[in-house]
Amino acid sequence: MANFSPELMRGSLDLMVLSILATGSKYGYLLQQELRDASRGLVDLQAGTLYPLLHRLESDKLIRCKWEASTGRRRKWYELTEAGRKRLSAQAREWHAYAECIRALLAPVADALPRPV
Amino acid sequence: MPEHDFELYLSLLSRFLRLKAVQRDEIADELRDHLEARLEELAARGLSRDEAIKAALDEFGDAAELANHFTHVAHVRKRRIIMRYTFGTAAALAAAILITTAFWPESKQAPVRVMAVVEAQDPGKGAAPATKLPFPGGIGDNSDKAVVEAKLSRRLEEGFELVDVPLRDALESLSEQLGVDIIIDQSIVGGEGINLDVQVSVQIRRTKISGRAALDLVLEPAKLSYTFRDGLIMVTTPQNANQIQVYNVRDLVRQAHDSYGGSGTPMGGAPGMMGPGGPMGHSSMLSRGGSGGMMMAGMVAGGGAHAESSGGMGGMGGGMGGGNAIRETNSLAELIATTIDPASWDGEGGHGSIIQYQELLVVKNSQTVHGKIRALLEMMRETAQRPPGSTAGAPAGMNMPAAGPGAAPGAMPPGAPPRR
Repeated sequence: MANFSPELMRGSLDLMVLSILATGSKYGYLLQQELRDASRGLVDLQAGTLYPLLHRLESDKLIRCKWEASTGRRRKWYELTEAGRKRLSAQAREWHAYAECIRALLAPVADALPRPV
Repeated sequence: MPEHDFELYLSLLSRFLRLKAVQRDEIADELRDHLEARLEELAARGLSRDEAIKAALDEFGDAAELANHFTHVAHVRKRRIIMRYTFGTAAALAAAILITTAFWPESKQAPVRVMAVVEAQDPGKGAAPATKLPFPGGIGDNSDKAVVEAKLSRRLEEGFELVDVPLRDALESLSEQLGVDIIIDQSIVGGEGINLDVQVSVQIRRTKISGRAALDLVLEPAKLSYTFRDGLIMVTTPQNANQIQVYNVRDLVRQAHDSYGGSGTPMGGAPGMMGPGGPMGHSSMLSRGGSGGMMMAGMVAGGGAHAESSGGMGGMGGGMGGGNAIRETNSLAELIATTIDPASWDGEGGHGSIIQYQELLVVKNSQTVHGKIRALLEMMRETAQRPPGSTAGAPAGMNMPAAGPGAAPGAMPPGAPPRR
């Protein structure tokens, strides 16, 4: 994960996972892949981080799970709950405002950076 | 087809998961699914099977750490569910405990909970009693211990609720709330009658109980006790929780000698003699139990006969004649064993021991009992200093040990073992 520092990402992992689940229910591995793809490879959530996070979101009732065995393999699917959907849209708004704020704050130094994010 | 290395990892993880079997299996199933999918992908990318297996496992990291994350999440959830559904039950239970303990007959050796409740009514004093309190004792004589005791005396902010939580996790959750590390005495693990997986249920919602009361509640089902060690709490058997302390009782013994034997020496020692001779080698003597504890029974039963053997200070040969109510003795050991928590001593089914060796009293018992002994000795010294015949204050004072330290916030026992 040489892309973003873990400190920077820590506060937003929940939001990222919720946003990926907003497009439909997924199992852990699929979610991980989609997050990687959606972030153009910048966010590669380690499995050891992903699953405890999913379980926490589940315990917070932001997502719920369903065991599916139709494919022959027992697989745990996650989907957003109503509360999760609300949390996602509220936090997404907050993050846009935050990003704007940071962008404005950093504008004066942006030129000094080789590649502003 | 399950990979051997995956199964190894998952079973290791399972062993670290302090959850119910169903939950453990679900986590293993979920992670196995991920590992296999990952293996396929990596193999498709051209990695060798071994490399792919290793890479897939590496992404999960250390099994113990991962298990901790899962366990933690599950227990936070459990706490929250309990909060939601057991509101009324918990309130009723807390009220019941308060009522029961408030009217508990004091002569019955106030049980741990009473002490905790009494203490809660007088917060702040329990941990660091002012010296002027009439009932000194139970004060930690090393600072680590004092810090831990202070934390134990604080009330838990979040309430305290656990439902069917394994003991270890209950301790971990309590440790988090208290801000004190709680470890389990490794020497008792696997011991006879030791069940560290016992399920603990405690539901205190409305009342903010003290950390000490919570710890007692958690340890009660497993019949375990605790002691202090290097700034942390060590859970152990009541037997191991007993600590050895040595009391210098030269002054009291001399007094007896002087009054009865008439040697003419002025009262030696004076109060304060106990200080230097006081608690010795606290934590270093932990769980070293047994040093001569067997003599106890003989002492209690032996009465007068024993007095002669204990270094010739007496000469009185106290009798047992008067039955239970009236008894004369010049054995300080016997006096203590019959006055303070009788059931905690060896001869009465407890694990404590008391030996009088010349002018020293070597006592192995819980923190609670040590506190009471200190208080009793203080009172004896104080009373002995008064001129004969002046009974003012003395009788009241002498009644105190029977009332138990629950009556005095200063004597709050730090290491009270759960009542059996």
